[in-house]
Amino acid sequence: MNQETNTFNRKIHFWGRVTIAAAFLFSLSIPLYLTVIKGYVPAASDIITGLVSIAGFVGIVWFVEPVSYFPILGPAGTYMSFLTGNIGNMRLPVIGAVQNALDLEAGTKKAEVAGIFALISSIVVNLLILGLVVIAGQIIVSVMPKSLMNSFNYALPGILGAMLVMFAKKMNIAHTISVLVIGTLVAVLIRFSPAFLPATVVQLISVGDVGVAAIFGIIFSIIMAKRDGTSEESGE
Amino acid sequence: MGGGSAGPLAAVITGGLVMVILQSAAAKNKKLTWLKEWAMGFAVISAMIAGSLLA
Repeated sequence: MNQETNTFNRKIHFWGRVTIAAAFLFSLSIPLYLTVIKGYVPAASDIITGLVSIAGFVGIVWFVEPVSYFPILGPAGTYMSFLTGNIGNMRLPVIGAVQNALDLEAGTKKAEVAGIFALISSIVVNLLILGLVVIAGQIIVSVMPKSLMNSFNYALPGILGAMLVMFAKKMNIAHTISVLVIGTLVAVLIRFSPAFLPATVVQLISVGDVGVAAIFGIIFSIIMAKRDGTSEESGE
Repeated sequence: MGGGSAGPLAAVITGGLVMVILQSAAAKNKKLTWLKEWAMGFAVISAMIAGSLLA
């Protein structure tokens, strides 16, 4: 790793931590204002109960998502994506599309830089449209035909289908089929779980569906990476 | 998302198919290389139409 890359990474981590910390403080500003200045102090038991109930449902995602998204997002992309949200349905497709259009291999420096520019564009456009919707949302919704509004429900499945093709192009056919089988099994598990699992487990799986799918994906990647490593060693 | 209808599945398949078709067209014809950048957008719009029609 050369000096320029080191400096680049150091700056990314510095600004990434600063912006995440700033967002963290802004998020806490209203509760802190209510507690410290207005004097509305919640009971510790209420805070702990709230934390436990949220962590029980989505706690697994806090660890699984950064690990599973990092290989595609890279350090800068991870900071920006987790700050702005909508990773699975917006940031990843954008990065995937750009890397695909430029024929770049995910995980390389070129792909990371292209991904950064793609993310910045995505975030700016996202904020502009969000701002427009916040200001004129009610008017836009009332003007749009109902059929057009309903069709937006199918945008995410369409993105996922297109992404599957983009990433499948870079994998061999056996791996692609394995991914499809795992994905189908996870979808079946999430959809039909009420029939054979306790209600609390069902709720946990339904809320953390991305986490459940990501866990299977990570396990599959680890097995494949180990197998590829073994075959490379035996081939030497 | 369609409440168990064929819409979401149709959207996934259409999105994937349109992506494949546009990307191979872009790879084969030099005049159509711009399609590579637009493939995702066309794929999503097609998926929205297909999903709505089959919902």
